[in-house]
Amino acid sequence: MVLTRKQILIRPTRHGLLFLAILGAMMAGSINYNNNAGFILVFLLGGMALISLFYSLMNLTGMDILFVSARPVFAGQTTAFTIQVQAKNQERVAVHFALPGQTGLWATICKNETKTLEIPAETTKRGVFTPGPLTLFSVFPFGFFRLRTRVFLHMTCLVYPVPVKGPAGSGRGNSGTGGSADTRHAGPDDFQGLSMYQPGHDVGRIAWKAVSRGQGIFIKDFIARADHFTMLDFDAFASRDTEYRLSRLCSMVLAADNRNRSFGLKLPHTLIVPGRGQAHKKKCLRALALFSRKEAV
Amino acid sequence: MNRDTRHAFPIISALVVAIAPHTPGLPAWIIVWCVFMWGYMLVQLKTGWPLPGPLLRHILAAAGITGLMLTFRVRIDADAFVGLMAVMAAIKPFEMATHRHRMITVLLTYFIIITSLFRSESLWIVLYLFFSVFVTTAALIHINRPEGHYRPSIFLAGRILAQAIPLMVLLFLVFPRLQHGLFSMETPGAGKSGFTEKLGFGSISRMTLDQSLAFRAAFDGGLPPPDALYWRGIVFERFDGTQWLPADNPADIASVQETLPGLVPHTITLEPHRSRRLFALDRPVAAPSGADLTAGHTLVSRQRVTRKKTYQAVSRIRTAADTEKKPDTLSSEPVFTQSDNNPKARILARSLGKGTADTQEKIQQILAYFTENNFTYTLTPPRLGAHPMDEFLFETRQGYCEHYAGALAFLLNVLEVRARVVGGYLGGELNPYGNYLSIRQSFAHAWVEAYTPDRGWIRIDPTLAVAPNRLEQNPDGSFSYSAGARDALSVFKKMGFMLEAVNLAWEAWFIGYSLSEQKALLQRLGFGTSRGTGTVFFLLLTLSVMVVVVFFWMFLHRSTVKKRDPVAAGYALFCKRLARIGLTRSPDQGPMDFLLTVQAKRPDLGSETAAITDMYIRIRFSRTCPVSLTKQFIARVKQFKPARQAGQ
Repeated sequence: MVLTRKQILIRPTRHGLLFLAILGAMMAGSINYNNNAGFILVFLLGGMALISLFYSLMNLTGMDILFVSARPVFAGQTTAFTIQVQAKNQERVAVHFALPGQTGLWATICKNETKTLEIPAETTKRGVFTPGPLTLFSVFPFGFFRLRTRVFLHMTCLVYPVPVKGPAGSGRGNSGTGGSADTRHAGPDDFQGLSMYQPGHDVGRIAWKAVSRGQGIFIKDFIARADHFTMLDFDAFASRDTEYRLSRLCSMVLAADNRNRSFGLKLPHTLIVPGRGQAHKKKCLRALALFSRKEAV
Repeated sequence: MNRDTRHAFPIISALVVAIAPHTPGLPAWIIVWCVFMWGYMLVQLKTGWPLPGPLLRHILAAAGITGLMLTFRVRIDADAFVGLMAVMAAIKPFEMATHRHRMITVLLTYFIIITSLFRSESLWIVLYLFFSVFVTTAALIHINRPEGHYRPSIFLAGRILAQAIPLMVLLFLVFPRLQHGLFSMETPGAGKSGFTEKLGFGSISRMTLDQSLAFRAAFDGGLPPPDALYWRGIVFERFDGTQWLPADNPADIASVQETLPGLVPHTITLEPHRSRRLFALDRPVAAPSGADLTAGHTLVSRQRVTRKKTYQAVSRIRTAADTEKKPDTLSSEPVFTQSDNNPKARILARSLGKGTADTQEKIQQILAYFTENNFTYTLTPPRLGAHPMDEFLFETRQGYCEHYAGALAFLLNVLEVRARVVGGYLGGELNPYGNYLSIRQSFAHAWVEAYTPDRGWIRIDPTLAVAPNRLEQNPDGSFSYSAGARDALSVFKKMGFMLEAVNLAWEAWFIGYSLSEQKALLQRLGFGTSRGTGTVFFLLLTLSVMVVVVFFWMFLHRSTVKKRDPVAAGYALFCKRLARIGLTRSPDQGPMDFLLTVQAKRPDLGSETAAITDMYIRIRFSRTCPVSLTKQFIARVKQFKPARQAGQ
């Protein structure tokens, strides 16, 4: 999104008002004593302040801002909205980027440079976090005028529930049963042998001993048995508090993923079949984040 | 350099540059104080020595203020004010940890710059002003730039300064001036010494060491001869036993003698001296505007001269052979009220005047007495006591011009010849490049005027009886203009004269630029002759031209950034038309939400609004959207005219 002059709001800063007061006092003195050199100084400073306003405007206008992505976080953590700022035809000095109610950051971007900025934002509750418009302001070059503009980038960030640890076993309503040896997945349970490494394979499974012997890069093959899975059930908790349940489930998802166990998630109206791995974990966390929330990402 | 210390050098440079013009007027300890504090700060940047903490800073501030109070006592004047600012500016760099402190320091620096302008408005000070503003602005830009080098700040400051100059010149020329100030206050720091208002023995010889300028005089025609360079300022008619007092009765006699030959018009640029006296070549016959001609042929300004003043004077130079057709009339009564002072001098007068009734002869007798009795001319005459005339005539016999003039006038008055002492200046230093004379305070002089029934008041300079070369040589040893030719001057002297001439030309225009000059300029440009309205009209015109230029500039600049988005405009029109029939889109509604609202309330508009919304969303979000769709969308929005009631 390219910034135009129309969106920019100009306000004098406190120092600008102080400068104005000093200029007024100088003017009064010059008029009183008919001091022409005083007039010269007052008109020079006044003219410079006026011209600095155009430099302030040029400092902001023409900048192109693009929302890239936002890292999902757990509620209460600080996320970072990644934006890409193109300076275009001139240097952008001391521009402050902030989201409403958040501490922002200062950036200076050289002429024709494109800079990636990570705008921090604290999250409070799970769901889809929409931080509101990105606010840019700058007082450059004199600090007398504060130019502010708001950029509507439609930024969103997924916020997972806060993981809450609790008494073990409370959520283990349906431990997995059944399943046959046919349902095999690549997993860490039983060592099967070595196979050639291919990009995309889990780095943790590389057979480092083989590498150190100079035999090439292999990964260890395991066979996991799908009958050892855990079903994490929303309805298995004693507490009635939805957010608490989601937080507990979140914690359990993380724990299960950490131990590389196969797990499934059962929420009202939603069932995620057992699985494992990064994508599966994210899918579960996402379901928890968006549970009974209208927004969709 | 870390974040905070990178600001120190620019700010200290700005402070040094701003304070520098004040150094001649500042006490030495303040200069040492400033140099020490700033020096420490700069050394600290390299060495990382500790900066004073808050407690030490307060102690330093208290010490500085105590020093100021000891120096200036309770005097609160311009010097004390500048001293205070210098003392504070010296320790200000120690507390620059926050942006606010740095900004306030820079704003203070701008204020220091203007105080130097009240000391002088010479060309050099005004040129220096630009340099000062440049350095300070570079510091201002630098502290608003959280990182980076000093150099880009300097360039930007220079650019903004250069771009502001046309605006400044325009405003300077058209900003309405007042005839007199807002409040009748004195200009701080200007005009220290002036001509004495009471002429005692020693009051002029005290001025011999003062090399400062009293005024400059430029002549339209040729320069008058050196023996005519008597600059008349004040007339003393009463003698109270120890000193002479002025007796000026303002009277309107300006209408006389305008047509007589020998009139010398000249322009005087008078330095401020806090009195109302104006000086002109002996004797002025017409008063400049804003001043009166007194009965004693002196000029008195209606306002005190608190700033440099330029005025036109017209004088008539009288030579010894010249006789007036109509002698002056005596306006006041004789002056000697007390007759018990200086008894010996009175006896001497009577013995000198014995046997003659002719005024000229009496004068010659007295002058002969001076030349024949070992009277000497000295710049450092001894102090005189209760009967100064007696002591001077019979004991010390050493005197400066006021001694001889005072004694001659006294003796003549005892002999019942009306005589008075005239105070002013004698001589002048010619600037060969500017064709004007500089008259310094040390050229102060006193002479006598005696009244003769046939010729009126005639000038007698008794100093010439004891020091005949006073006419050619100024008291400081420099020669009056006839003595030095341009070629004989040293290079430095020549350069000094040249720079002085440039400055005078500047000052004559710049400082003199006031209400009347402004009116003249505007009239030449063809704006109103009726008072006031022309200026106001011109100012308004200027301001409107400026506004137009600014808008034009913004328009030009805007077109290079981005044209307005036609799709957004189309959708805005769509929303506006729906709002007209009562369907307002709330700010939080997206196009889809709004479509649902419209469809719920006005099912009859459903298909058309859905089509338009769909096109809008496709243009905005679809990657495979043809360019022609934008045109279609706008055309469709323009055709879309929803009826107020359903079913029509």
